[in-house]
Parts: sequence; structure tokens; C-alpha cells
Amino acid sequence: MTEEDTTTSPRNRFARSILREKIPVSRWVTNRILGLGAINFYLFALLTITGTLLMVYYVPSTTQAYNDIKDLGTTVSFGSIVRNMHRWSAFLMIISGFLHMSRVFFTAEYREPREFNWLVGLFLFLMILGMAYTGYTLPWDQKSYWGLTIMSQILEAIPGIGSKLQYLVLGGTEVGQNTLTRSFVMHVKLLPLLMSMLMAVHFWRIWKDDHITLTFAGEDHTESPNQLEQPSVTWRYILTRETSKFLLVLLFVLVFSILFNAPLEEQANPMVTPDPVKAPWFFVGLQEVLSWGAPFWTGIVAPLLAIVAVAVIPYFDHGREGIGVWFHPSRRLSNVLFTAAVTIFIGLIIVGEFMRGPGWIFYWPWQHWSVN
Amino acid sequence: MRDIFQWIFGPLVLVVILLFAGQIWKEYHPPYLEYQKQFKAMLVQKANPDAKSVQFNYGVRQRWIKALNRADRCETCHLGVSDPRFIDAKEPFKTHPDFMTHDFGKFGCTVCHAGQGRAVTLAAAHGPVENWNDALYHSSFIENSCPQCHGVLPTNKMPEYTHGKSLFNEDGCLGCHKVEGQKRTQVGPPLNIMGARVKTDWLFRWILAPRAYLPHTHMPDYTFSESQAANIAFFLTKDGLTQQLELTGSYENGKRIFNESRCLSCHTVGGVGGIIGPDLGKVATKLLPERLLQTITNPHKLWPETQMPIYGFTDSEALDVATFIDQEYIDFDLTDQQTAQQNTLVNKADAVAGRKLVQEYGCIGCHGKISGIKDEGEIGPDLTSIGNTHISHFEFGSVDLPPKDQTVPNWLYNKMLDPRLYKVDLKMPYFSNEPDKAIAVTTYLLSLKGELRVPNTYKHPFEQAPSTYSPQGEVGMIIDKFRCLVCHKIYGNGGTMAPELTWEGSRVQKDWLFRYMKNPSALRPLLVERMPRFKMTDAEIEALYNYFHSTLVDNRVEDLAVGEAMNMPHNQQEIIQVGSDLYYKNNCDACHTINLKGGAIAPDLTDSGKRLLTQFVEFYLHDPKAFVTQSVEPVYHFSKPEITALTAFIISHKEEK
Repeated sequence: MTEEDTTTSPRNRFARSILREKIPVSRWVTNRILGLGAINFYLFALLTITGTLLMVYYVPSTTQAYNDIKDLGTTVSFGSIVRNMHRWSAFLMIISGFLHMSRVFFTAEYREPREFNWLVGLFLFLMILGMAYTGYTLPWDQKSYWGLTIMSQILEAIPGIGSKLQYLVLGGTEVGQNTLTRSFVMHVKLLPLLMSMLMAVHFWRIWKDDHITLTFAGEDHTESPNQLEQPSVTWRYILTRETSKFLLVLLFVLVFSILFNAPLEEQANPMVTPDPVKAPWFFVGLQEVLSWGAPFWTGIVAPLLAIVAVAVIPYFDHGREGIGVWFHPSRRLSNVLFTAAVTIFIGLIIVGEFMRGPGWIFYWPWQHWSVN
Repeated sequence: MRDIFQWIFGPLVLVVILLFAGQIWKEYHPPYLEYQKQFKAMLVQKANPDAKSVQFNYGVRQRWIKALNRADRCETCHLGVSDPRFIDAKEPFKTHPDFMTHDFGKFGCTVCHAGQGRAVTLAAAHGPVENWNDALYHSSFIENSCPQCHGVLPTNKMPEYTHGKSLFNEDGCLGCHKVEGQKRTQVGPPLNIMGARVKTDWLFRWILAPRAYLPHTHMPDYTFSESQAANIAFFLTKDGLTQQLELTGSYENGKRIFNESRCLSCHTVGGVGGIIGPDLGKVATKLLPERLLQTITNPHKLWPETQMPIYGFTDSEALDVATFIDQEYIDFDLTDQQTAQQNTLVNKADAVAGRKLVQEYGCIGCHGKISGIKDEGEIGPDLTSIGNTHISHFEFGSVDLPPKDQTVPNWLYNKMLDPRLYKVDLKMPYFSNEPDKAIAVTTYLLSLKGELRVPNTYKHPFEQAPSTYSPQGEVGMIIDKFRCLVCHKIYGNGGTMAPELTWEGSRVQKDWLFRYMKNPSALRPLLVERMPRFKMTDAEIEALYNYFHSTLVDNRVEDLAVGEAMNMPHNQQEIIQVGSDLYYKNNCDACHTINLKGGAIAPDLTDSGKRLLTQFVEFYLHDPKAFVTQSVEPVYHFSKPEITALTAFIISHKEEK
């Protein structure tokens, strides 16, 4: 929008005051930081809308759930596209959440005063994974059932409270209706509520931290930290830009949903154990680690250590150089270490997903699984 | 300040709106609509010309069967299943052949046909598709679903299933495979004294290729190598006797007794004869002379489960028959040199290896007793719920099939044709490679679904549970000795080859029974399986008659005997003449014979006056299907005087045949 638009048109006082008035705006509008956080928010919105629509048909019952999902795919109007969009948005949210965290790390923006927001973000990411996992259990297909079975075995491996915890999660001693009910409540009530609250905190902290910070990196802001306070763009500009981004995300999810159906395995059947039993792809890396040793160490301690390690990064990194700059030379070691860790974990997912056959035996992707 | 996002905003809105519009268009054009349009066109064609318009609503059609927790949408495309006007239409519109007997509102479709009832596209509904292996049954195997409601008993209403079940039982599948609720019956003879029973060279040839000796034997072919066969033969015969009995009876006399006794009612020689017993064409190459004699004298002593009766021959008669068989039924293609060679091969074989083979291949499953072998239960997989087993439990081995052909029926069918198809070193032997038998057995196997998949209210058995009738005491021993129940049925127990005897006491006269037992004549001349001539004693016949007369009667007939029927003027010539006119007017002679004149389908009436009881004829003419429901005798609905006249005419024939 050009200068004269904002000042000379008296036609619509409302539009003039709200949409055309130049406002101070946070860096993320003008800096090249990809806007991944906003994309996560859009996906959350998409998931909320499609999820609500899915709840119209879905009944969380072990006898009914699978049939309901089948019906969504076969006869319910728009059932297939809504379910596909829900599934692919969720996958995309895991990826964009991960990329968002990586971006924050590579630009060193977790540092003081944002260390608390880094923690909030980490918890939000864990909740995304929790949502995805509980969502996986709802169709009550083989993946749901055997995924839950593996998880309950991991929980049982915790010394002392293991079996109690397992009982709590399963709602009994074996995977059944109570497990499904608990998953459902987590997926549609508890986790969305917690996520919304944490998201509010996350957004509030962004705003607050931006104001606290006096040190800005980047070519435009280094000299004048108060740039923020000066009006630069209009609300209309921001709205158009963000709606476009939302539409881009929507378009991507929509096209993907038209092209690819969300998978649905066979109905949960305790009598038939698939071989190999594979967790949802975002947990298959953990499953790969799990296959290396005792469940307590590989399934509980190792992931917890990883989470703690990520959580404490801001409290150990007290450097002031390179904030807001991609791959700042002073942070070469941290970036290399981080990249290596991430690469290893992605590698684990790839190995688990594509190179493990029956009995969790290693196969190259092009090798034929021998069934015996 | 403009950037890329400001530029693409408009086009993005447009593209997203277009995509959503496309989704709405797609929603209104499902694939099944094409079929529904075709069907509506056919409906218009078939409609009554007076009707103004045809009622037809487009959309998904669903049967929701609450009791079965099934939603079947098959009728979305199969639109004519319950409309008899579409009996000649092509699929998917054809009328269902059973639409009158099976209420689709109660059963739906998939409980019998399988497939994915919830799907409404051809591939997904029929299957198999990924993650839905419960594919539509091929029509050849469809009867596997019937026993869920109609019970597991054999019936001609489920011919494929019944055929498969009898093959499964008779070919001894239960020897190696457990099926919950079914008794493991030993279909083969015990093998514990083989050395005293059969010739070693024969046993070697038999193990090598059973069907070369008996083309229709139940014994499957294990495709043993010559050395394996020799090892087994040596192990089974090593404790045999060396002393050979010399049969010194009269060949001519033996031949006479053999023919008189009607051995060929059960046994076949040169393609002629019955199928109950084994082919005797080359039996002299098999049995040792002593064993042959023992079998003819008292087969029950050697093998209690045999179907062969004890004829009651005297020792010399038995010796004569044995002599005849030993000299007559030899194999002309077999030279002494060959048998000598085979004997040497067997005698040089390894008994320990033979024992190992006999143990490993589970021979004891069918041959109840083998000395030196312990029965360790069924060696094959449990088949109790094979028809309900997930495809992932079936291994296709090196057979590379596209996923759409990887179905349980397909696996089973090909396994029946070639038992070692999926794994070459299996022990399962080769039975028959005839496709119709493979279809029958596959149908039966698929019916083994383990637990009941329909509620109890859906049960509607075709047949009653089999009878446990078993005569006791003296009569019981006689009936067992002559194995009457192999051919005759009494109170639902027994064979179907010969007439049922449940009401025999109400049917025949005492004198006739005595004559018949001494010298059975053929009542139905067309049959091959004729009553054998047993050497029954008078006491035995007396006991049988008393049993028949006191127990095997029908009160409806017995009541006639003391009622008005006996007071009828059966001897008056005029009445007999009326009966005669009725007999020929109704073309009874098309099937029945009197004095060599008439048809050969129904029993000969020449001696009915001496054979049948008057009250039986009366009763039978009232209701020919009262006893034998499948009787081909037409129901004429004669009046009472007509029945009296016909009875008089029929029992007036007292000629000896």
C-alpha cells in the first residue's frame, strides 16, 4: 500500500483507521524467517475444523470406530477428503513444527530472554506428537492396536511404577475399549485444550520478548533497536499476506488429500500380529532405538534424555553473538552438533520405516522380504 | 510495499474455490451412478405400459443388519437382486437365485458372499484390496457359508460342501489334521502284522504308487523314492511269517460259491461290480494265501472296523473260494523276475530308516496300529478354523502371486491340486488332482470357521443329528456279523445302498423273509449291488424276523392290520379285475414288472402276494411317500375302493419267481 492511500481517503473511517493505518510490526513480517510458526497455527486451525467435522460421524467404540472410518472413506459425503486433510495436516504440522524449532536453533533465538518460550515451544512440539499418536489409535485398525500394545510394553518396563502407569494408560490390563476412550479424550479434549493454552502463552511471550529485547541482529535492525516502535506496514498488508500463506497451506493440504488417501489398515485383530509391527512414522525412529536394547533404557531413558537435552540448551548457551542470523560463524560447533543429531534421528526414522522387515531384520529397500 | 503474497492472493482464492467446487462435483458423480442410470433405463423398458412413470431414486442403497453388525451396500449396484423380472439380466442387475428363501433384510449379502459390504466401488467391494482380504467368494466355493446357519451335516441341499466333507473324512485328512468336534477316524487298516498279510513285493509296489494297483484308493501318493519304499516295506514286513500256506481247495467249486455269494455286489473285478470293497482284479498278487483264507472265513477278526460281513462259510467252502481267488485274480503283466527283484530290494533295505519314515509321515494317523510306532497325535496343522484364518498365516513360499490373487480360497484350492506347491519338502501326500474334488474340499475347508459367526437365532439346520441307533444283544450281533448297516438303514443309521429296514416288520411276510435270506432274489433287476447270499442259519433268520416283527414296525400300518383292511373282500375275482384295470390304466406297468412284463425301474410285483403284507400295500397306496420321501412313485390320490381293488390285484400275484 502506498502512502497516499492511508491518509487521503476519508470514505471509510473504519477501514482507514484499522486496515490502512501503519502499525509497528514484529520482525517476522519483514525478516526472512519463513513464518513457520504461523504455518503451524494455520495447520492447527485446519486440524480443529476438520477434526470437528470428523467427530460428527466418529464413535469411539472398538466395534464401531473402524466401520465409521470405513464409511468416511466410502459413502459419507466429503468424508474422504475431510479425513485425508486431517491426516495430512497432522503430518505437515509435525514437519513444520520440527522445522520451526530448527529455524529457532539455527538463528539462535532461543537465547535470553526467550529461553522460556523455547521451553513452551518444546512442550508444544511434544503435544503435537501426542496428538498425532492418540489420533493414530482412533481408527482402531491394526496400526492402532499394535502401536498401543508396543507402547504399553514400554511403559511396563519402567521400574516401580511401570505396571501402574500401564494400567492407567490402558484403562485395564490389556488394550481395549477403555484404552480407546482414553485416547479419544486425550485427542479431542485434553490435548487441544492444553495446546491452545500453551499457544496463547507462546504468542504472548513472542510479543513480550520482542519488546524486552534491545539487541537485534540483521542488517536493518542492528543500529536502531526501536525500529519496532515505528509504523512500517498496514494491517491490510499483514492480513493479505497471512491469508495468502494460509491459502497456500490449505491448497497444499487439499491437493495432497485429493491425490493421496489416508491409509487405513485392517481392523484391529488381537489374533493376527502383523510382522513387522511398525509404529507411526514419526515414532519409528524411537522404535528403531528400542530394538537395540532393554525397553526401559531405549524406550524411556533415551527419549527423556533427548528431551531434557533440548530443553536445557538455552540455559547453557550464554553467547550473545549471532542472534537472528542464519548459521552465524561463531555458532559453527553448535550448528554442526545440532545438524548431526537431527540427521541421525531422521536416519533412524528412514531405517526403521524402509529398511526393517519381518522380525525387525535389516533389509535394503529394494530387497524382497523373505516371509519365513 | 508489495511482495509475492500480495500478488498471489487473488489467484489462490480462485484455485481453492475451484478445488472445493471440484470436490462438490465429485460428490454428486459417484462411480455407481452409471449402473443406476442403466438400471433405471431397464426398469423403464420392463415397466407396465400403463404406469405413468418409474419410481427410482438415485443414491446408496444399504442393508443394515444389526444382529450381524453388517452394513451391506451391494445393492447400490446389484439393483435387481430381489426383482424376479431381472432373472435373465446381466450382472450386476441379475435376480438373486435365492431371493425367495433368503430375506436379504435379515441376512444382507456379505455374511454368505464375503467381500467388503461397506464399499461402493467395484474393486473395493469385491476385493481383495489392500488391507481387506475378506474377498468375495468365487461362486464355486459359496456353499462354504451355508453351514454357518444350516448345520454341518451332509445334505443334498449343499452338494459341494457335502462332497467336500465326505472326501475330507474318507480320504483320511483327519489322520493328520485336527478339527475340533470331529473324531479322528482311522480310515486305513492296521499295519501291525503286515508280514503275515501281504506279499512283500506287493507292499513295495503299493507304497511306491498306490493308484497303480487301486486307481480309486483312498491311500494318497507320497511320492516315495524306490529306496524309501523298500525301507518302509521292509520295516512293515520284517516280522512276517516265512511258512507259506498251500491252498488246495477246488477251483471250480470256489468259482461257483464266489458267484453265488455275489461278492461283486461290493467288490469290482475288471471294471464290473460294487464300490464298497476294494477291487479284487489283482488281489492274488497282494494277499498271502493264509491271509486270504482268513479274510474269507472271518474278516472281523483281522480288522474289526471292516465293512465286510462274515458269510458263514464252512472251512472247505472258504478254502475253495480262497483257492479260486488265488488262482484267478493275478496280474498277468507282472513277471516272476520282477517280483524276485523287488523282494531282493526290500530284503536288503534298512528297517531303521523305514521306521523313521513311518513315524515322520504319520502313517499311524490313518492306520491305527503299527508295531514299533507310537501315536504322537496329528502331525499336520489344526484346521478347526482354517476358513476364518487371516491370509498372513498362509505362506505362498516361492509362488509369486499378485496381491489380488493372494486369498485364502485361492491358496487352499491350489494346495488341494498340488499339496507341495508352496513348499517342496512337505510331507502332505498327493490325493487327487481333479479340479472338481479340489473345489469340493476347498469349499469344506472354508466352512471350518471355528467359532459361530451368526447369532443362534439364525440357526436353521437342514438335517437332524445323526442317529445313534445300535441294536444290542443277539440281534445286534447278527446285524454286526453280516454288516447289514453297511447297505441298509435302520432308524437313521446305516447305508443308503439297499432299502431301509426301519419298518420291515410291517412290510414283509415271514415265509418270504426266510426264503429270501436263504436265497436273495433281486427285487430291482437294474441294480449292480445285490444282496449277497449269506450262509445264515435258521436260528439267525428266526431271530431277525422276531426283531423285525416286534420292533421294526410302523403303527400306522399295524393299525390297518387289525382294522377294516382285513375285512376287505380281497379274494373276490371282480374286485381283482377292477384293480387290474386300474393298474394298467394308470400305467403302473411302466415301472413295475408282473410275470416278466413291465418296466424295470420299480420292484418286481410278481410274487407280491407272498412277499408283502396286505396292510402294507393298503397303506403304501394311501401315501407312497410316507416312508421314503424321495420315492419316485407318483401320488395318484386313489379313492378307498380303488385302493382296496389295487391291493387285491397286487396281492393276488403269488407266483414263484
